Amino acid sequence: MPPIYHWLTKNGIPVYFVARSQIPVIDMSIIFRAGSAYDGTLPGIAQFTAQMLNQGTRNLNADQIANRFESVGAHYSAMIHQDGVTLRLRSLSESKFFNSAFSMFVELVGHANFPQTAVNRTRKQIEIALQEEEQTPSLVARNAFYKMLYGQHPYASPLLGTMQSVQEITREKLIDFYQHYYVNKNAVIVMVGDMTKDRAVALAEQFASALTEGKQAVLPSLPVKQPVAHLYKIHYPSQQTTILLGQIGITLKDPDYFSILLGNQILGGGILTSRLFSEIRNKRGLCYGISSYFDALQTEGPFVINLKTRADQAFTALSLTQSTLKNFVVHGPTEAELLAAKQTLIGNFPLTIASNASILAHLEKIGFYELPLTYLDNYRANLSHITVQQVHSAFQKHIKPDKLLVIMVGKT
Amino acid sequence: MQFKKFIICLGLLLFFHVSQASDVHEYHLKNGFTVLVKEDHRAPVVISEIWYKVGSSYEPNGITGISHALEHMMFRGTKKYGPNVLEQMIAANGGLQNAFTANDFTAYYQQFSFDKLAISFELESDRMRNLLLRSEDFAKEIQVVMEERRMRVDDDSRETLLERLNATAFVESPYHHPVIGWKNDLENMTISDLKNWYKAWYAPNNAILVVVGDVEANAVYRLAQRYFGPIEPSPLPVLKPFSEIKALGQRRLDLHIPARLPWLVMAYSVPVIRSDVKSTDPYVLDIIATLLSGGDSARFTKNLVRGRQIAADINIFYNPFTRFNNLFLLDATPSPGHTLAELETALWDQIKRLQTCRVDTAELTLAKTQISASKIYQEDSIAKQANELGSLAAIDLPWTIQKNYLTKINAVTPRQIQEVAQRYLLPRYSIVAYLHPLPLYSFQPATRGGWHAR
Repeated sequence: MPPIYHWLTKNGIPVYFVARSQIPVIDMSIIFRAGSAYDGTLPGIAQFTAQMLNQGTRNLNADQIANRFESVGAHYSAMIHQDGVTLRLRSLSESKFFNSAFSMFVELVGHANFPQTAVNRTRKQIEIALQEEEQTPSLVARNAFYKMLYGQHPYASPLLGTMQSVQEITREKLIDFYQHYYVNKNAVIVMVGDMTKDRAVALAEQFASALTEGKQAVLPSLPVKQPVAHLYKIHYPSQQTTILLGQIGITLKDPDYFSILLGNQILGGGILTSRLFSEIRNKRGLCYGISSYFDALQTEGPFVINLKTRADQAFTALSLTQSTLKNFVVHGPTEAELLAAKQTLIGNFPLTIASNASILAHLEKIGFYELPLTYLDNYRANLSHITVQQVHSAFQKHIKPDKLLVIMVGKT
Repeated sequence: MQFKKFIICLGLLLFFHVSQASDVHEYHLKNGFTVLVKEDHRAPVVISEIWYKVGSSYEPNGITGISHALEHMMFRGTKKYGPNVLEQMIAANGGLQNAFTANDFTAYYQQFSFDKLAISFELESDRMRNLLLRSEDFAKEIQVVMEERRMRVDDDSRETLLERLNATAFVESPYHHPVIGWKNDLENMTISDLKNWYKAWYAPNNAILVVVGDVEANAVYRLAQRYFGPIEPSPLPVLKPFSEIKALGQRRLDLHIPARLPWLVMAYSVPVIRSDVKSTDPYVLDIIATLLSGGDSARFTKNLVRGRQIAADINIFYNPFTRFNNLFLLDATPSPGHTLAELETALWDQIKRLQTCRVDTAELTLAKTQISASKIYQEDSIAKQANELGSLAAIDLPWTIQKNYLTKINAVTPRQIQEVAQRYLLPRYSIVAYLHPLPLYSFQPATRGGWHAR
């Protein structure tokens, strides 16, 4: 792994940079604490804002913006999740391509102006996207799962919002959200690719000077709540029933993080090798895909198991899944399983830092969640120390297999 | 003039870097096994892929989906490495692995730290010939495949439409049937069908090994010789030829499927590179796809999504790397308040504009720049580089086609674009499909009243 350079811009934005010059490409991101968790009373406003940035700036309209990026072959994208919004640029590194792409990127991050016609058009597109979700059973299930699991906490807010809320999002409210959250104090800059550190320093300063000072957004913490067993069924005319089950999980900084990571690899994280894959798919042919994961976020993200199976066998598959989980929580993994999981996660670590794109993703996580700079250096050592006992007690502490939220979407 | 200079310059730049990254090394073993190696020393990792020249387009009626079902059974053990051993060995060595089946090939891959390559060769050379294919495993696995079909096709309105569209567009061509197979064929498939299919097609003279990563090409060749060299070749089945019959006019589909949104697909029968390797038409079609839908600045998004706001989104799919002629496929979702018929007219207007007016140089340069840049971005991923080599070799095209791809793209003229649009994008070669949504009955996502607690 090449060294990670880290510094603050003059006005305090953290910057993370890795130089990689084998291909003539630069990747960069600016991330703001402006994800759906900050939607407040208007579900979908974080997504709506992110989608509007390339629809007009103080000087340019959407056609001109698209042209500025694409005439030099650059790719711009905006993605939101619960905690943040990630704005990315991928460009060729040679100045005649890069400079144009970069100045456009800075312009739309710092000077988006939310033209009314573009607001109206984007609202219609979000309405269509909401309808697309409705015809996708796994997204119907996902939205219900978050809503029931998180209740009043902002993680319950659906990323796209609702048909009703997007009507209430006006140009003024978008500008308010943008001015409040797209600010220096709320930003992290990440860069990987074909340039010197000096150039990276200069670029970061250009970014920083386009933004206002602002203040850091604070995420509400999660009220401590005892999990309760609940099953909700949503009737849906599909041949398969989509099943999501889970609980509130852990934060990225939980001391049990590496125990949970290894345990989950054994339970349902390992493709083709996990207990769930073996029990539900290989031994019984009940589903095509089954997996479990912990979405470790700023505050406690969910633990989720998901699968799809023919409607008439949904309860069979569900109860086998529950008993497999329970068995794992009660008895813990075997020594052999833990060794195999360590070999997998430690062994495939080089693959996760092989490309510029994957290094960028690591830096985004380190920067946004303020993980130590040594996170990647210590990653393998952190895994190798974990014992069977630690995995066992971490699952006993965090997962209550008799208190799961279950969502079923289908004809079951 | 200035723009022309610019793109030539860009072309040179790309070539410099692409060829500097590494050339492809090609080897042929005595038993007919092909080895392609591309060195990429950016990180201490490697990807190893085995491509078999068999896929759904090799399948006769009655056993459609058998190539894909066999791909599943390749994970059910051999005599030497019993059930689950392969998965566990690769995982224990820090490997990631999977497989994929398409119309024209079936491929298996592992990604590892660079020093683990021999494990891949050991396991792949073994399962090329020694698969167990036990009927008790097949009984479970065919259920998994049927679940996969429900998930991918039957419960997805758009995939259902595309399946029917292919069955309409390709009359005699084997692209008529889906890769995953018809449900009825899956229900009637037997383990002896699979044994025959495996014996017929899984041979070194029907396979290509592709390795990309932190390796030395000649060392990979020697290692491949050690593991795959001793496998005896076998005579391959000879498939009967077919000739796609000519369309007698436009074909239209009106499909009623449970869904929330209407959807429009317009597809045209077009040639691919393998139809005639000397033809420039496939390259021109790639440019046309980029001009129309290559990004936010492309005509469809600019004129129909932002300008007239008649569509919420529009995409084009065209893959010039297939064995037989394929489709140039447009799909679009109408905006609220617009009908499928209005949207269809708007798309035809865009096609007519291509046929009547020459594209200006700036617009053409932009499309070429996008294609060239994407090609460089691809160098960031060893998997994408390997897939590019494998997908060419699997249809008997030389890898040099990709190397020369940008030269051909950069040579495309406004006149060629007009001519190709006039030649292929015509109503009489088209298939137009409308998806009319049937209600997703009793669907109430937002209110708790619609949910049944248990």
